[in-house]
Amino acid sequence: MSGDKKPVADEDAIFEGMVRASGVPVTDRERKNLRTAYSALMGMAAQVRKSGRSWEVRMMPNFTPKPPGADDR
Amino acid sequence: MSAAAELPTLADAARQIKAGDLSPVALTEACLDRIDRYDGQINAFHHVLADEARRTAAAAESEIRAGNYRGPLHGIPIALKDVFYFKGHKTTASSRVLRDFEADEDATVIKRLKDAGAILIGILDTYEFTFGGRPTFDALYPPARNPWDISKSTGGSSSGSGAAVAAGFCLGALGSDAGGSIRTPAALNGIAGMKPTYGRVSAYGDIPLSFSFDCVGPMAWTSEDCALMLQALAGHDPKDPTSVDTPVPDYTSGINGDLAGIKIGMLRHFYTDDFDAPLEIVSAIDGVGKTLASLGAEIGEATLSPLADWHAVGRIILPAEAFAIHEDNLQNRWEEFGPLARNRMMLGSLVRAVDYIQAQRRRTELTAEMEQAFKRFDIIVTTAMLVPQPPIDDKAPFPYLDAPMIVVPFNLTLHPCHAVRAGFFTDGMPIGAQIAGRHWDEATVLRVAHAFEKAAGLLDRRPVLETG
Repeated sequence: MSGDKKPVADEDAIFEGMVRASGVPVTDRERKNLRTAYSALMGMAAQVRKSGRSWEVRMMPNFTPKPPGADDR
Repeated sequence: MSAAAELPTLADAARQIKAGDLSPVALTEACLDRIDRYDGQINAFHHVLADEARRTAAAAESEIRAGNYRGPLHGIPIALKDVFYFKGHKTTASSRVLRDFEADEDATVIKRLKDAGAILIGILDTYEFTFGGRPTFDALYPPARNPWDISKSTGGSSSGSGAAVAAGFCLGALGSDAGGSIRTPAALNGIAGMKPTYGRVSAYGDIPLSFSFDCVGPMAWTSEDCALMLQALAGHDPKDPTSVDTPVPDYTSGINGDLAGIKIGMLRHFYTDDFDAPLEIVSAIDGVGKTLASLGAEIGEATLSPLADWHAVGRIILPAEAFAIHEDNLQNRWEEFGPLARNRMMLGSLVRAVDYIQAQRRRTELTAEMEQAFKRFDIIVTTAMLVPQPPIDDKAPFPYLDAPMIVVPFNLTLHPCHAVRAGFFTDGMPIGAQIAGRHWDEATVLRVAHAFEKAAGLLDRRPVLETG
């Protein structure tokens, strides 16, 4: 990919694919409501991203093994 | 000062039972009588365990008379949200999917209530599989109604718990909170409700909605009542991997302590700038700060990232986890879900792994921000509701996508957060505030909440019920 153009995702196709992939049947009306909700959700997905975020910002929750002997206390 | 003129608060009842001035049998009968008279209108209960409650109350009375008083919950009628394993009873989460589910053991919190001698008086309504938003008419049971106005929503998902306590059907109730499900119904029904620090109360045997957020906690008329319940519920449980082995303080010994030197951060921009809450809410919550100042607390203003940022993180993580938990049933028993619950969970199937992880990383940043705020303040106060109680038949499928959720920030950061009655709208419906504290410091939260309730004097007003 060259230049500063960002690829334009086909949100409708992604939505349809994800609904199909879920394996859960939906009615036409539900699909319409979900499509609206999906747009809102994608807005939120953009909002949680931050340009230049450090790699050191890890995801919550953190999982670490208990120290040796922790279960014996 | 209780839900019903003829009923004491949990704390008062405990004092009277201990002194031999109140009979657990009589108290249980008073609750059963109110349920019989009024729950036809309210729908708080899925099942009333009248016979079992009478038997346990009689046994408690005998034990206490024989000098074997177990503690403040002994002989106290308490009801349970329909999400906890309860041996000998069905746990349905108000879903047809679980209409025949019966666990062969008790949830840890049920066991602890039994050990404390509580009278388990019935099983309470919840939104289907505890997914919040609006009441669900298409679940296994009809929705609980708000005792202050039965045309209004109780909020959820601990809808029956909020309604039952407000209606005076029991002196306390168990709730669960992954996205405000204790604090929202507490606020909308004008009672108190505590989401403890994540890990403080075992979630073993609580039907999950979100592994990241699920918390179990008490709901009652007053904060002192919640303190007594939390005392019995809190503590390490090896059965729950998220339960933390840390000492549980005495929540009531210092509850009457003064507030001199306590630093309170008013988190105003959430309800004034980030969302334009009605003036009645703004006045009520600002009033909490003024009352606390009059009690000697030092008041400042807390500033965090805009509420929409917190909301976005919560709205990505929660449905994704809910879909993962219920995926098998959603795929294979989809027709048994109510459409509203199914669609709310379906949202989670639309969250990509990368979106989920970025949301969890943003959560790390927001949690650090909240920790900074708690370096400056002992307590943070904000509203527990941004809008008045909606009509019970509001059918918006995804209302929480349209407006930010004020309760979510403290789920993300795992801090203890407690809802209290803060005032009333002009139509008489209650307004609730949130009081949050540092990790593991429920004691200070409860002390501040108790001091506010005593000074504000708002708890004498009760809902007027009609028989039905």
